[in-house]
Amino acid sequence: MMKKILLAAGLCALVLLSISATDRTGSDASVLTKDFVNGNPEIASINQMSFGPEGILFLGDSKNAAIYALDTGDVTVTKANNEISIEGFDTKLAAALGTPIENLQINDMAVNPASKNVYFAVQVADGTPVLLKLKGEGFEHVSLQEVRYSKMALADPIAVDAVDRRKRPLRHWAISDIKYHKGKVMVAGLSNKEFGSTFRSIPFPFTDAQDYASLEIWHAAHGAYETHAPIKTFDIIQLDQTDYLMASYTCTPLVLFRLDALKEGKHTKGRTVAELGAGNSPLDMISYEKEGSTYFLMSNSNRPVMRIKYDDIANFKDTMTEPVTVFGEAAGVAYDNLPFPYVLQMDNLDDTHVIYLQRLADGDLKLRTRTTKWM
Amino acid sequence: MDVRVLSRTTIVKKIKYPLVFFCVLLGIACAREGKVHIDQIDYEGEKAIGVTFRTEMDVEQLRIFIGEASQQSVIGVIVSEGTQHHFTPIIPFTPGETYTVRMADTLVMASFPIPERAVVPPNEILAVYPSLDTVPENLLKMYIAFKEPMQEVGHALDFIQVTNVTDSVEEQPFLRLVSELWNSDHTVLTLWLDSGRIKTDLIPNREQGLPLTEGKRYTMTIDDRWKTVEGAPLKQRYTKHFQVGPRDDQKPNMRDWELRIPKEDPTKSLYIDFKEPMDAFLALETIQLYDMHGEQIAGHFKLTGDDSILQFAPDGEWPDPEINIRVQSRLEDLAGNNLNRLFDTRIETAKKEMQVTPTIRNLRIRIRQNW
Repeated sequence: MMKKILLAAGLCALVLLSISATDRTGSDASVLTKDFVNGNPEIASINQMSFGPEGILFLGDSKNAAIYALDTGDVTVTKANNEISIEGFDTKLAAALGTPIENLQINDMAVNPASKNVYFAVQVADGTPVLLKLKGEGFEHVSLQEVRYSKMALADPIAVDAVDRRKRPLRHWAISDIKYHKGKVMVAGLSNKEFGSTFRSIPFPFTDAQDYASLEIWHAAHGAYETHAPIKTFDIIQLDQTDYLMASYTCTPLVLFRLDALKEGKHTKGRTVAELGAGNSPLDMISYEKEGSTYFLMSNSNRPVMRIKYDDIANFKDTMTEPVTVFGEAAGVAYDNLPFPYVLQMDNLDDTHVIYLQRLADGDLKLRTRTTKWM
Repeated sequence: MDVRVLSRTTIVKKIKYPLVFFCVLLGIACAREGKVHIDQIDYEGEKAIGVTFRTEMDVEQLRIFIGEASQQSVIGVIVSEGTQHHFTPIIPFTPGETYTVRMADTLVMASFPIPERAVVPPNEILAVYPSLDTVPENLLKMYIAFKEPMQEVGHALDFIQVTNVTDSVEEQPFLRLVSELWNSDHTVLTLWLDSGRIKTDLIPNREQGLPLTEGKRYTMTIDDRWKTVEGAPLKQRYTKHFQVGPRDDQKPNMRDWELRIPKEDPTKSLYIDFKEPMDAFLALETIQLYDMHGEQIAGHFKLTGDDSILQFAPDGEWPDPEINIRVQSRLEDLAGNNLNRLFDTRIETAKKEMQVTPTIRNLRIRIRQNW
């Protein structure tokens, strides 16, 4: 009798569990994409892209000064492949698009964490944006014309802006990085005019209220100077239960800002934790866990991939105020140069693998994965 | 042995004619099935957006490739109407390239060339800013304005060379950004001089010094092979000569500006003399004029006097005896100093600056009615 009761109770619990699991998935999906519309968003460019939950792809379109959220519907891991090695990647890409290599440019690469599929934002010489998904050693086209999407215009914080004769804004924001974090889409942008920093935190799902923060950032350099500068790439880091924006600038200092301090219209002063060397512009920043420790990887225009240990950042309590005394030495938090130069694109493939696009010494462009065990 | 020979001869004779007939039939069938006939290249404007071909073959076995050597087929969509098929690639076919229709990825069934574009006139550089020939040592930006939209691939810095003529050394003063800073039309490129080298005390500044050195002469050369979207090169190589003057470590000061509406000027223009060269694009977009009722006054701006004088020609008569000039504080001089702060700021100064950061500043000017 007791066995029967236990069995019945167990079955009930199992049914309830599965119902609640189904409900959660269903309600989350409806919450995140319920305001999406079907149609052609008329995306003019894809400068940066990043995946959020449920296969939602965020695209940064500098030409339209907008962020698009695309429902890719790509949420199932069909065949996980964490050993990718494709040589002559740009040749294959150009052949698939039926045009010479010099007619194309890879603007960004992003992995969909829901399906582990790798996406590429490609730009044609005439500016046409193309979105592709890696399929074996080939590609599958992802339509930008017939999609389910939501759009958020990046309104200029300065209301009175000049326009040219065809009523287009003279000022242009190049979206330099975009990431989704805890219900917010974070966007960093570079202006083609003034040398300032704009970092926006936009609630997602997008609202009409445009409730997002726009701010300029100050960062301390060595010694007695501090300057405005634009963020090139960033990640989010949690220190003492608090989320921080870890931003890397065009001139490579690494600066921390409390996320909750980034308020609209306020100048927020960051804490410089490292300066990473000369003649360099950072490209991508990702993080991974290994043997209980968190590491950050940063790829660079002119330097190998750098690895920074989370604990080193967490333990670096001071802002950098002392000038560097040794010529040519980087300062602040320690970092390692990994033996991967000319990494043009980089992302997490899964919990234990990183995927990156690397220009080799012989000029070949190679897409490859690497286990974080050896990083 | 003989019997066998005779027997074979007989058999050959017996099947000879039917065999020939069968081969002819097979040949006709193969030729008919294996034939792919290109009907036309489909155009939309000047873009070759697809190809129409006819075949009785199973179209599933056919793929389109660029050239004859490519191993990767072109991605696209095939729409069939009976034996006629339309293939539309993701991006238009490229002029000057030949495409092949292949069976089983290898056997070329047909090919079609895309004609070269009509020769387009060469492109021109309209201006390089700063337009004056002496720049401050801490110059932050340069702009290149092209007549036609430039190609949206490749790196601009591969076409730009800067030489320190004084020391005969090639320099790399510009920051190599992967996301280049173009306007929406792709006709104006913004180049930042390496900001890490300009900022006092940063490692790049300590290691390499400023990107430009006071007292030196430079040439900036722009390669004529740099192409437009239409594939047109520049009419000729462009060279700009400039020399480097002292550092600019002063914010633009509106109190120093001189405003005048010369009586003799038939355009009745307002001239704002900044008393120093300003960022050519910000000067044109950060200043607006308003009448006494707050209505914006229509007119045209022009930057003259080596980028140091802004001319505003009203479209009609000046509406009021007094006008309000609104200046956005983000207006910068050549060194990136704006109305609120210096590009390089000492921390103690920065604290004071942060307390006063208006985004708009106002100037008033009286209009004389007795022209």
